[in-house]
Amino acid sequence: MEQNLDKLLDDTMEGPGVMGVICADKQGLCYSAKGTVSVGSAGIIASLSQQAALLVPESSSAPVICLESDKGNVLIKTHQDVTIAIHKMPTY
Amino acid sequence: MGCCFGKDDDSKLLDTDSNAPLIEERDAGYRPIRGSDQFSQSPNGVQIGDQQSELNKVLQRAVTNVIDVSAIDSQALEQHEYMDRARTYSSRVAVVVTGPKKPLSSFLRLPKGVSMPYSVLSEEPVSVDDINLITQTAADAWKASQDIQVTHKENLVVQFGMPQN
Repeated sequence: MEQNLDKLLDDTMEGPGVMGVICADKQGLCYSAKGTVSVGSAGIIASLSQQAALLVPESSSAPVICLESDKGNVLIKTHQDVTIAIHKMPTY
Repeated sequence: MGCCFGKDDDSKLLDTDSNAPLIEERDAGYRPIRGSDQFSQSPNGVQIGDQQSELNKVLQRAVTNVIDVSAIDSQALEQHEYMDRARTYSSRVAVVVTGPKKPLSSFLRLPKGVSMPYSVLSEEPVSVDDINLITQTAADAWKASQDIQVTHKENLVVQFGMPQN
């Protein structure tokens, strides 16, 4: 069931600088969210990843999106039909 | 002697075309004279003038069709004329640049999410560790999502207005 996904997100939250994690399907349905991220942002990150993939249509894998701001970076990546976003502070 | 003209009118001769017959065909047995015979029977002065006018016509036609680049180059600009033109062109460019404002949609506008965009743009690119982290996490999340199943707990179709038993 979803215990594996919850455990994965919990393990990801333990990473350095990670403040939030969210996982959604390709239609924007939120599977799970941890930390600072909002459940309502699931549709946005799924759509953003799909739009970014259109920039490089010949690529077989979806690109990694990094939204940089003063409040940290948001990394977005789609694998198959699952999109995941990680909110983390940059580490140097 | 065989003078071809009824009157000694040189101006009439200059206006006529070179191939036009010089006399009208009044006599039935007359054959128009062309080519060198025509000039052989004309006075020398008239013949030279005719050729000169034709030559002038050809030259005039060529001059109107030719742009003499060397003549343009010869009109070299003086230093002060050059500076005047440069000043004039600069002022016109300045008028265009600072003239009526273009619509805002024609300018590239930075998003307002970053208060100091230059500080973000000058930072290091996304680290390889972050890329590996998100890539690995996404792959693991997809694997974990395969275990998710919808469990049937209650009827998905609900009839409104029906008494509940």
